[in-house]
Amino acid sequence: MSATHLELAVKDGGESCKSKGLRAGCEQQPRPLAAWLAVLDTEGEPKWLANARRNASTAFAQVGLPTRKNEEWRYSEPRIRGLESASFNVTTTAAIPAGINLTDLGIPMLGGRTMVFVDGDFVPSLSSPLADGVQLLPLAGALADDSLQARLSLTGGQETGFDLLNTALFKDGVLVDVPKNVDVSEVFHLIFVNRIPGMATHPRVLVRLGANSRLHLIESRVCTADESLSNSVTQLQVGPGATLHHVATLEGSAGNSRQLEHIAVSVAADGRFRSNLTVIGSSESESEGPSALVRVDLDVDLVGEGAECTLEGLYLGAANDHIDCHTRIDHRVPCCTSRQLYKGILAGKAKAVFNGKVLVHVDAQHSQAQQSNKNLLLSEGALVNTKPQLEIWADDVQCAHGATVGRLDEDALFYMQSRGLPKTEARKLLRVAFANEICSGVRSNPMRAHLEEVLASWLSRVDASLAVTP
Amino acid sequence: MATGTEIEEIVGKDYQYGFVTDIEVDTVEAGLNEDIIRQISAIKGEPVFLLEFRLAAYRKWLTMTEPNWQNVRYTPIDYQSIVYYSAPRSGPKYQSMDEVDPKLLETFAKLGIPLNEQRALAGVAVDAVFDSVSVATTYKGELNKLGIIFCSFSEAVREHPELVKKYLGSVVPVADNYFAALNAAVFTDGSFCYIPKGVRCPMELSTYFRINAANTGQFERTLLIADEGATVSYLEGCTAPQRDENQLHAAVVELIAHKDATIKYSTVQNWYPGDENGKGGIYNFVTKRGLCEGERSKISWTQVETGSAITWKYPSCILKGDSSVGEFYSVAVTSLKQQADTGTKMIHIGKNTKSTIISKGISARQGQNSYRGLVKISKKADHARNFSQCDSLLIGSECGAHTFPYLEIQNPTAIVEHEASTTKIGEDQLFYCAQRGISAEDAISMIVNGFCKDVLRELPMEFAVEAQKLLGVTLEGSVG
Repeated sequence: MSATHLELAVKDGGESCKSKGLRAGCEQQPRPLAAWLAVLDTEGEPKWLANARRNASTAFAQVGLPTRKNEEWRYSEPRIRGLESASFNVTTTAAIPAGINLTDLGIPMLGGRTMVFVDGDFVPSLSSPLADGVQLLPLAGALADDSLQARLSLTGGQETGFDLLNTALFKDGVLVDVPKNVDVSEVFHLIFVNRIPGMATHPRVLVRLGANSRLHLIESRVCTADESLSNSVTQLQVGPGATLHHVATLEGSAGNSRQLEHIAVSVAADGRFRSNLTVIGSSESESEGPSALVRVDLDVDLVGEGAECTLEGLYLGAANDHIDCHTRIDHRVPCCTSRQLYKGILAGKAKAVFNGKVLVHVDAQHSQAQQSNKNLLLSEGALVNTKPQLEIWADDVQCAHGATVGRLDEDALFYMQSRGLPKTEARKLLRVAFANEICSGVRSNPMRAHLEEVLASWLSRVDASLAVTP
Repeated sequence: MATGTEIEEIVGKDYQYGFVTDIEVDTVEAGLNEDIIRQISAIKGEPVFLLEFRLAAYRKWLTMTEPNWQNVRYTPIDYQSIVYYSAPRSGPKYQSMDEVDPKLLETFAKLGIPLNEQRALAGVAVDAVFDSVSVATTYKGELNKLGIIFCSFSEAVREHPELVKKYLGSVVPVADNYFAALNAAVFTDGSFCYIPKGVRCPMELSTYFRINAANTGQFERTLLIADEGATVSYLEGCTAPQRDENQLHAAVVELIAHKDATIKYSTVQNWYPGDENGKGGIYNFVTKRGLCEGERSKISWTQVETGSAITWKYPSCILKGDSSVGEFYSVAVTSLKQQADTGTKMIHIGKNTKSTIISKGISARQGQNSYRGLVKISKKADHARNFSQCDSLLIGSECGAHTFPYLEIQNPTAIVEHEASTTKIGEDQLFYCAQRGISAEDAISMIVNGFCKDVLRELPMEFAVEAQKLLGVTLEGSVG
């Protein structure tokens, strides 16, 4: 820990933390993120990890959080402005209620293996880890293995301030290791709940699939904590010929909460990656004051010939939500295929961003890339910024993208009305049909049923609040 | 459509407009400072408001930094080594064609626009800008009768200062961007056009720009105003002599369409693209913007970009009037080491506004082509409608095609569609043609022309022919 770091900590924390003995006391004080970096506690951690954290901390001092000047963060910036100076707690002494009811939080019980984290802490009583060949472990317990060092690094140079914060400050997370030729029959369900206001958590998830293996991984993230920050990094490695189904739902409309998730995927030769993302924001059409930011950056690197990925996403926003979905697909080698379909429904004063980038690198011939983004705006004040982007440096490719923003098809509405359906019913049906295309892509039956239910109830609540405030 | 023989004829030609006319020029010293600007203003005998406009722009420019977000790469420009003013050494005014420097006339003859024959040509008035001073204007009398003002910018400043003062910088403000500010500070000449109320301009108005004296940047300023109910079609075509120095061209074009007015602005641009190693060639950094000020006004941009080492421009429409219409049709071809970053901005402000974007990019050899566009539907633009289509065609494995569309929608009643595709010419298409006895070269020229048809058919007749020939020249040797 350098002297300047110490001073910063003293200044921002408002309390002297020079000696080790005082640190426990300091941890009760909320402080800015940079100040937490300054009092990095790497004691008891393996040397490689301590180094990695320190390097990330130094890099963060240079990079900082993204600003308006950063094209990728242009639209999100208003919701992260001032985050540097906002104070957070990173640990909690509040005990997790023994009988925390996940169902009440809208998290489905899927019957597979579960890993539960509440406010960043692993909850063993609700979890069912696995350590027999196939590994499903809390990350904190597995860090002695220095082979994790290589897996922790994100593709060089691409790390944002948030990634660096995660590396420097992550406390726990999940490690999944599937050896080759294993078809994991159970669904792995990772649950992250944030309840305590003013907390910052930085969960890290590392998943590796050996050659020709298969895994169904579901993540549920729920945030009910005002003024909180959840900054996750999820790294998925899909081995040659392996198949990974990844389903993620992010739910949260707590005031001024920020949920960020960076999902970095690499797919080896003939690997398949299928992602299904659902972001659920508020369901009120009107809301006062500041509101939530949910941002998901999904980066897929197709690094082996014949790799394929399918990305589907649905974002539902209302009130003052800001939902940001970024995808980036790198076709690095020939003969890879990517498909993307993202859909959004926005009401109230919600803002949504879709930024999909497809890069076909030099000599990545025979690449096929399809990308589509469709949006429905339900009320005045709702806003969509969509930027489907293609960068193509090879010639023998087939790439296409499309984007639409609009209302429900008047002709379709009229048709249904002429067949005797009331207008409100017809409208509801068309909206459900619009969004259900994404939900129906989920392969896990209980999860799909859950998502369909969430969608239907979100739509009817939005409908009700739109009816109140025309 | 160009036939196979036409293409063959064109292929195998060197850059045919690459010659330097040997005329003495009046130039100011190289470099840029307030004195140079005052000097330019003095030479041109400008009123005070214009000098102040220039100085304000220059002072703003000093505080700005050159943008670097674009998807093109070039060696930094030394703004102090550019000569900002050069004028052909000739009498101050020409009363008749006989007084015009014969060498100048010869140049125009090589370019295919002999002024002596202009009058005989069907309905085209040409205001030829040679370097920076306008030398001859034809058909003036005829246009005068209708009250149409079509003259060089300098003349407009002298004859119609009130119009210039009212509209100059109203669409592209001085501090709009780095190159627009530079242009506002040092522009030397350009074209000015005013169509009065209810007048339909009886002929296509056209201007030929031509870069001549070495090291002379061209900073044209074009101002085109269509008053209520007026209609005008304006053509701009460009060719330039071959040379090694990179030349900067930073023009500004402002269009204003009042209520019920229609402006059609077409460009065929074929400046020197540099040699096979990417040496030389023109930097074309242009700001073009049109304002649909009144209800039911319409602005349509059509461009065929085949030349320049770097093309970097976004002809845009601000759809302010209710029910106004904006259109953008573009073909951009990059071959050799050419780079193009072009597209449009459609900013919907008024109700029931409509815009269409058709962009066709063709990349061959090591050419890099980017479409970058913005469609913005603002809160009050109820029932706005946009359709965008940008397709790219790739020829050769070293070229690139990129698409950066921005769609910003703030109104739930808007309908916005964007689609884009990137493909190479299909083996099966060529095979099909080969079966029918069409050679690969002919097949490719057919496919390219078909690919661009949606845009080419928007061009006025004269330009459509030229544009098809240009496509052939530019893609010469890169196919087959």
